Amino acid sequence: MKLFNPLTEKGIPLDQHLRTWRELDSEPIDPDTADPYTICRAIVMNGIEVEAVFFGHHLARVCTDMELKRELAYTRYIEAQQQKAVNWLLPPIASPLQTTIAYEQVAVDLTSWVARMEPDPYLRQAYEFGVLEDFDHLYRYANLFEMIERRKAEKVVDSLTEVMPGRPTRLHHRHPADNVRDHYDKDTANPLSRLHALTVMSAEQQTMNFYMNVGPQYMEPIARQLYIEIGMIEQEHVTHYESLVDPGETWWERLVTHEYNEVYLYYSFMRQETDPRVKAIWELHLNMELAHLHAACDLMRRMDGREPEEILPRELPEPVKFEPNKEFLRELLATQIDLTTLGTGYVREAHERFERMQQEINRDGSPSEEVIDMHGAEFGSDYRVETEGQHPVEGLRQMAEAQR
Amino acid sequence: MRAATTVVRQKDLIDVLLEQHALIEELFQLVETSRGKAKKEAFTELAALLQAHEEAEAEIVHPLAAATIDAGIEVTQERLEEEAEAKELLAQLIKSGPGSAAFDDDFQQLRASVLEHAVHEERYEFKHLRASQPPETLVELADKFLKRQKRLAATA
Repeated sequence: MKLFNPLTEKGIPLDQHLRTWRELDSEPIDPDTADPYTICRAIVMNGIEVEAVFFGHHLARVCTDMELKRELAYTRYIEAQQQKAVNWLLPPIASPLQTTIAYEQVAVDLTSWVARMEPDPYLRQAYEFGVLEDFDHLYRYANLFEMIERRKAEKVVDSLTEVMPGRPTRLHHRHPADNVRDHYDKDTANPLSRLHALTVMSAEQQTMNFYMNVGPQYMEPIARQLYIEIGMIEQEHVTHYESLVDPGETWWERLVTHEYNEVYLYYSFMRQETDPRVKAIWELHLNMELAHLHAACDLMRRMDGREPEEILPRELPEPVKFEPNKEFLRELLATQIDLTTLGTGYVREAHERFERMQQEINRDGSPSEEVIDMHGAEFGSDYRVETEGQHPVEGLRQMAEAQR
Repeated sequence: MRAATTVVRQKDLIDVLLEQHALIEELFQLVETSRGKAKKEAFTELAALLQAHEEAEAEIVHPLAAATIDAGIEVTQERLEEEAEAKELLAQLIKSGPGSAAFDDDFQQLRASVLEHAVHEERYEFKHLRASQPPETLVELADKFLKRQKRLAATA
């Protein structure tokens, strides 16, 4: 098979990218018959497009060249159209909480994939650390879902992802200073590491946006409070992941990385997609992103006087795949559940700054604990989907929970 | 925090309605994935539940919503129209039966219409009833709704 090379593939010429309102109003996915991972792919690509749009706006705000500003405004408008076409795939029949569960499934299985593929051990540790937290969010929201909407998260995740306690949510509230990691070195980093950091950062950023906007739509106090608590952790995660990126990269090389990453992800998801209608959207957007990438590469040559090949992978990395990560996650649960951060590193002991933060923020209780207690009081036990047997951590097995 | 202690909330009308919506969704899926006798049985159960559910809603839920929520009359009128459409589709399906040639296509149409209707109820009616009605009223109405459904089922 011929290798797909984003730098030589032409794509659709830039002046042919505009679409009508009707073309942007994608026919939504039917959640009852769809592969849950089709919805996951749409959620990821929405997050990627949202980042493309906001990155573009921030770049425009520091750009002094009018001609260049106009050029950037055009591609940004197209990225915003792509965001609509992608996000409008989401089923209107799903409630915000049902979509929230899909967001957490994305966080769990996308971050697991990235952790498994990441070549740099320090960066891999950052993903392994974060994924155990989103894994716990999935469990908390699943309990809320059954309690207030009388539906089971199993229907959303379809047993592809297990639902059980991870690192307890109340322990995710670290002092903000301890969420800042060391960054990779732009001159020596593996190009795949740049793509990984940008992908996970974008996904977490969109999760943060989503929770801060849908949380207040609920009227049940427990739902409102849980969205606040987890929403704040998503903001911590954005800090955690964005700090992995070398801040010394120029705006233009960052633009190239963004566009290359979009090509990489659309290509990956096009290869994996089972729904032909959705696959056609991934293919169309791939062909648009190729043109965006070429334009970005030209800008990097023009503005920085450097070749984009210096920062890009020599060939397209192995396509990103949505697939179950149950064994991987169980291994992490067994070995890393009690980690926290201190400075830019990880420790097992609760240190003074962590303890102080915990005392302040959790002093009148924690919604993420309360949701489980309330669920237990109403249904007899907590809600879980444990397809591979009991929880790997003895203290977190359901019997212990039910006897509490 | 506002709800510092864990109190078991009594099941209210909205809980009952949501539970039945979830059950209806599951039965739709069961009919779709079953064959032969199992499909027929699942469809009979679904049809009975849909009829009793919609009828009890028309008697208890929509009038309450019409009287108490903002623009209640218009909102419930649209729900009643959706219900009438679903009722007609259901009657056709009962007549033709799961073995007939057109069943699967018509059944898809019913499913889409019922599930969309349920989302509209949840968004435009139930949410507002939870906010406007005293909790004890909704708990009492849960009981009334279930009893009415039982009587409807007995006379069906």
